Amino acid sequence: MEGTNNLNAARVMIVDDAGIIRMTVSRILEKEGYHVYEAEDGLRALAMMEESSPDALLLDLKMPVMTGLDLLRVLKSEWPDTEVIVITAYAEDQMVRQVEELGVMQIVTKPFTDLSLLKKFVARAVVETRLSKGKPIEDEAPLRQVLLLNGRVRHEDFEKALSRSRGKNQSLKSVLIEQGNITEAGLQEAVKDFIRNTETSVPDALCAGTM
Amino acid sequence: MVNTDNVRVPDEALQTMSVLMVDDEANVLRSLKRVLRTEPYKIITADSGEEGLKLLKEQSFQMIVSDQRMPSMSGIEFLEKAREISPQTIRIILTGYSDLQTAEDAINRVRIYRFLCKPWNDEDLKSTIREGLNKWWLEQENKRMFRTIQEQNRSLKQWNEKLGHMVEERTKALRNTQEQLVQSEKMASLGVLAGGVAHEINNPLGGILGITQLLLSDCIEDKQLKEDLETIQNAAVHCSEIVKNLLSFSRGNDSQKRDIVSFDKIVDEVMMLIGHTFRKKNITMEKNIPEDFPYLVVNQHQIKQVLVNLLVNAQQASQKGGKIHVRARRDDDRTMSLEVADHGSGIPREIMDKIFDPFFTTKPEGEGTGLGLSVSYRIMQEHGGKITVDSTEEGTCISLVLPAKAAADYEEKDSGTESGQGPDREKTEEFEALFAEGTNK
Repeated sequence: MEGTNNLNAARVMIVDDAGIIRMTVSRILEKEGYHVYEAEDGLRALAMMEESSPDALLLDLKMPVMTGLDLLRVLKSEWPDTEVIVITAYAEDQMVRQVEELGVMQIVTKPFTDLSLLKKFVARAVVETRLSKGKPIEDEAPLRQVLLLNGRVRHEDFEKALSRSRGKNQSLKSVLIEQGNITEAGLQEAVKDFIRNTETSVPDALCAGTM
Repeated sequence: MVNTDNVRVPDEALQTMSVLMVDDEANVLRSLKRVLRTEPYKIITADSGEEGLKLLKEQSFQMIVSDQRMPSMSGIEFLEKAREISPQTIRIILTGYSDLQTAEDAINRVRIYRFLCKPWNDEDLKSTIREGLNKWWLEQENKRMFRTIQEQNRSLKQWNEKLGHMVEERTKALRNTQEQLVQSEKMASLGVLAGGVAHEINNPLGGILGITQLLLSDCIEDKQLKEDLETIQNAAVHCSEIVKNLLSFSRGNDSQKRDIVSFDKIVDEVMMLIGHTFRKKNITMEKNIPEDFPYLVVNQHQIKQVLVNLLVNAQQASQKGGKIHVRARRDDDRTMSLEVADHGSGIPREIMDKIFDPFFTTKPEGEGTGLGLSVSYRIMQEHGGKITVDSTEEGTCISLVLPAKAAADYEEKDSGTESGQGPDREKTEEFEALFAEGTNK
């Protein structure tokens, strides 16, 4: 788990009572460079909030002890800056409305048939949170999405900078700037671009599959 | 039939009757008239057969009383001709001279009613004429009644047929209702099952899909491993499609949601989604939606889903380069129809009653979930409508019949809503109330 040693890595919490989903999401996001916390219900998630201080939460709705919706209400009042992505097996319309009213931009349906989308959504949420909190965006995740997707930085330059940053225990952003791959202004531009281009959407109930 | 013993011709009827008396001797005619002057019927006289025939052609007589021996034409000859002109008229011969030949002829050729001899007995003559007229009247009466009975019989028969028809129709309707009930029960029980199972399956499926994709991004070099992983991935995606369709059965709140959308636009949006499958087979889609076709008040996601199902089926049933028709029309004040028609080889009759069954599919393994039409059936039901199928060897036409209340003659025509966000949602809610009646079962 390359990213997990880095305390400055962006942090994401996955809250889902299904172990397999927690494990899968952890594997996917750790590979992206996130530090991932796992909680199996809403109450445990709340207990971990202070210590983990995540940049984004992935939240299942149907959970024992404390439902996702109840957790969402607490999160939105206590940590209004922290972005939440709702993951659900089946989004009923009424539920979608309630979730949207609570300020959730993104709902993802399980199972994830397109991982690249999930990665993009998580990066977007992290970027938003960091911008709200005034914290720097300087680590592998979410920079991987921000810089590589719109081609601001070449893939090999990114990987080179990444291994250098790990060796020197220096932020990825500063190495990229040192290497001359990007400027401070260019990065800000890239972040803006990324937010603009990552459109949020509620799930479409339409099944395009053939019957 | 009328009982001749009791029924006598009423005097009013007698007053309308005429008796023709034919005799070449004027004094016989005179004395006959005198004898019968108190009788209610009219007496008209003729002094020869020829004269008698002339009168017969001019007016109708209920009875002829004729002499036999007359100079130019005998009574038998006259009555024979008279019978041709007016077969119903009662014929009587009144003769002073009789031989066997005359009697025979009178019976065989003239079908005489009575053979009277001169000189006559007045009372006998009167009663004979009365009886004859009575017979005539009874015969007419019988005929009339027979005709009436025949007519009544005919109309009874018609009623019988009509009733038979109605019973047949009702039986058919009943059978249809029963079939639909069976179908909706199948759907309902599947819905309960589906809702529960789908949630449980989605989580492990999420694990399989997630990890498989993760591994796939790692092992781009190993071709065999990559192929194997892709097989797992495809199978899992197929599973998730089944689950997604199953979930459509478990009734969610959203099935009550209604959007105001143009059918034309729905078709376009669906074609954007699946158009590539049409282009691949060089199939064209011909849209025929009247310009004044009303906006629909439906759950647009669900109707899109139905259309996707129908269009994909139609595309798969079509030959390369074929044509698919999408039509819309108002049937009457109560319903409107949306149709998808192809020119494929049709649905075999033996599977016709199974096509709406969940998991029934004719497609190769792994290609269809067998849920498309059953989900569509359910969706149409929830819209207060139905699906009808018309399939021959020349093609299949599936009609979505929607109740008139699914039409919005709404001034502020809305441009369609995306998941009912923003201001559209309020409009949607307005129409939900309007529609609720149709969907409560």
